[in-house]
Formats: sequence, C-alpha cells, structure tokens
Amino acid sequence: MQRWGAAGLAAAVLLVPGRLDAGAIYGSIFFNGAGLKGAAITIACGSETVKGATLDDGSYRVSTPEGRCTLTVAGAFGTASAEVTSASSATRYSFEVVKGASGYELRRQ
Amino acid sequence: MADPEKKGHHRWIEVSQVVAMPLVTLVVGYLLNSSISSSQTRDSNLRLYADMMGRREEADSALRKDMFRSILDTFVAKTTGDKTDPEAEVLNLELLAYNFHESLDLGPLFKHVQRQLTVRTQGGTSAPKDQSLLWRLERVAEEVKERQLAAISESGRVERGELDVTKAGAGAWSLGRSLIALKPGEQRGGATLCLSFASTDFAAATTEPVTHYRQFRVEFLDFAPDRREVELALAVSKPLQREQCQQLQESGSERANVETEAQFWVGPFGFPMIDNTRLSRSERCSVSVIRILDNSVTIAISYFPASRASLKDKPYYDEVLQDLLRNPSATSAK
Repeated sequence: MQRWGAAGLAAAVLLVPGRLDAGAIYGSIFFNGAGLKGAAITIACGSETVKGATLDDGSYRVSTPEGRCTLTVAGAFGTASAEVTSASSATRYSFEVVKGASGYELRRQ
Repeated sequence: MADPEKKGHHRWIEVSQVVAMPLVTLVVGYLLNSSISSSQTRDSNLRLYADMMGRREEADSALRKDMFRSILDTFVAKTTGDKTDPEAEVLNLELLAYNFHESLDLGPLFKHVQRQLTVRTQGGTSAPKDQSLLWRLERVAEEVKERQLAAISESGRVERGELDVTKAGAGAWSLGRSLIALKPGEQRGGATLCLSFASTDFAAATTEPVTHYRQFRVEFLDFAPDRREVELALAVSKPLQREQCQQLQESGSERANVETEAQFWVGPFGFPMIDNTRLSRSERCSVSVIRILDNSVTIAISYFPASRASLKDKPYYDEVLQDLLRNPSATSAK
C-alpha cells in the first residue's frame, strides 16, 4: 500500500508541469550501492516546500522555486539532508546516502 | 651404343647450363625492372594525385573563404545601421548552411535570424511572409540535419524516436528497436538504449571489424516552447559486452558504467556532426531535434566514429596517440 502511495506520488509530481519561473532539481539517490526506490523527497526553499519521490531506479525530478534550498530524503534509514541550489535550468544533484558521525547524510556523486 | 647417348646427354646439359644462366639473369632482371618501374609509376601517380588534391583543396578553400566572407558581411553589416531584409537573410543562411554545414557551427546564426523573425511576427509589424520564413528556416535546418545523419549512419548508428513533452520519465519516450524495454509497472527517470556500430579502428592485430556497444540513457528535463528547445540529460556508458548492453542494469551497476554525462538544451538548430559529445576511443554521440510539432518532438540519437564528425572537430593529441599505439595501420589509413 505504502509502495503504491510512493509510486502515485512520484507519478503525480513528475506529471504536474512546473511553474514558469521555477527551476528543477533532478538526479538519483543511492543507498548501499543501489538506487533508492520510493524514498520521499522534500525540498524546502525559504517558506516554500515541494515534495516528490524517487522512482524504481532511484531517480527523481522536482520542480522548485529558484534559489538556495534544503533537500531531504526520507527512507528506511531515517532522514538525510543536503543544501542544493535551484536555477532557471534544471540542476542535477545525485547523492549517496552514507552513515556519518551524527546519523545518515547525503554525499554528492 | 650407350656412349654416344651419354655424350649427347652431357652436351645438352652443358648447352642448357650455358643458356640457362643468361636466361635466368634476363628474366630476373626483367621482373625486377618491371617491378621497380611499376612501383615508381604508382608512387608518381600517388604524388600527382596528392598534388592535384592539394591544389583543388587550396582553390576550394579560397573560393569558400571569399564566399563565406561576403555572406557573413551581410549579417555583420546590419549592425552599422543598414536595413534588414529578412528574406535575404534567410537566403544567405541557406547558402551558408548548404555549403558550410560540415565545417561551421551555424546554430547561433540560425537562432539569431529566428529570434529576429519571431520578434517581427509577434510585434504586429509582421509581413505575411515572415511566418513562412520561420518555417523555411527550420526546413533548411532539417534538410542539413538529414544530410548529416545520412553520412553518420553509413559508419555509425542513428536511432529515431518521439518525445512527448507533456509526459515525464521513461514514459515520455517512444524510440525504435534499440530501446531496452522496462519490466511491467517499472518506472524510471529516462529511456535507456543500446547502440552499436562496427569499426575497424580498434581491431588491434586484426582488420576484422569489431562491434562497439554502449548504453545511452536520455532523460527529458524541460521544454521551452518560445525558443522551441528541449532540455535533456544524457548519460553514456563505457563500451560494454553485447549481452550486458542489451539489458537494463541494476541502478548501481548502471552508475558505475557511466563514462560521460551531459545536460543541454537542444532545438532545431543543433547539427549532429558539429554539436556532439566526445566519447573515449575516438567516438562521438549526439542528440538532435529533427522537428517539433505541438507537444511532440522528433529526436535522433546518433553514435558514430570521430572520423564522421565535422571538419571543425579536432581530435585530442592523447586520443591520436592512443589510436596510433592501438592500431598504427588504421590511423595511417585515415
């Protein structure tokens, strides 16, 4: 049920056209060397927050407002965050979820 | 009875010994002489041919230089305040495109003329012919791309397909038989293809063609209807075994196999011979937009040897050295 929910959310996010003044953040999330399926992605840019999810190959694409944002991935490991910048053109951010000193963190690929 | 017969045999042997030596010398001399003569003729013909080709190239370059300068001056002259004639501009661009499409990146000039025509059609001062000039511009670009793709497909591989810009992920793509099918219900961010071409360039010790296989993953990112361009992300694998190439890899292995990644905007004025991505082993790949109709974009993905890239394309020195070390005969034959 949770899997269908994540897939539906991913499809909904991917099929909704982005705002005209928005950029996009895309890439892949890896965990233990494999693509992370169905992980929830939240991108917070100032007061605005947009949500998405990773597909079966760990890839994602989320339309975001332009500027500095925080990308958070939630999965079975808990949550991990990283700073990203959204521009008018799509920006690629691929991360590996790795265990750090204080829990899991995102390491850019 | 036996003695005269023996004597006769001896005489024949003596005679043949006397005759054989000059005869053999004569034959060997003749063969040697004719071999040297034919080799000299061949060398002389080659030299003559190379000389003629060189002179023709020189004359051709001079003619093209003059032609290029005079046409380009018509675009530059406008900045000094001369009036613009859109039809003349399109005609000049046609001349440039048909004569120099293999040696110059005419994309910026095409975009420049397109922008000017778009402004005229949107500004209300448009003559009825401006819209048709815009179409003519795209048609010229399409013809040039088709010519280049035909040349590329002779020694490389071209896969054609459609991109639906209203969709996302792998579902946005409709490609030919090189597309690797997804499992039922599987969702991926982009379409993956396995492309190959046979090449003798890297056959090492043999001259038999070797088929190179690579996976290409294309991801649709954005569409700008005003500029008529799509934004794509392309990931190309290193050369793979046939079986490995023809099936979807687990995402971790897929990532490990990636050799080159590129993200770019491409529209009707991106020409595959000029506007391409460099790969290892003196190979190139390109994604071209053939035409855009409403929400449907016709795409051609090409994978080809660097020898089919434009005249403007210069190989890196280390690439040339690697080619020489791998197969000296193939490189010298180029």
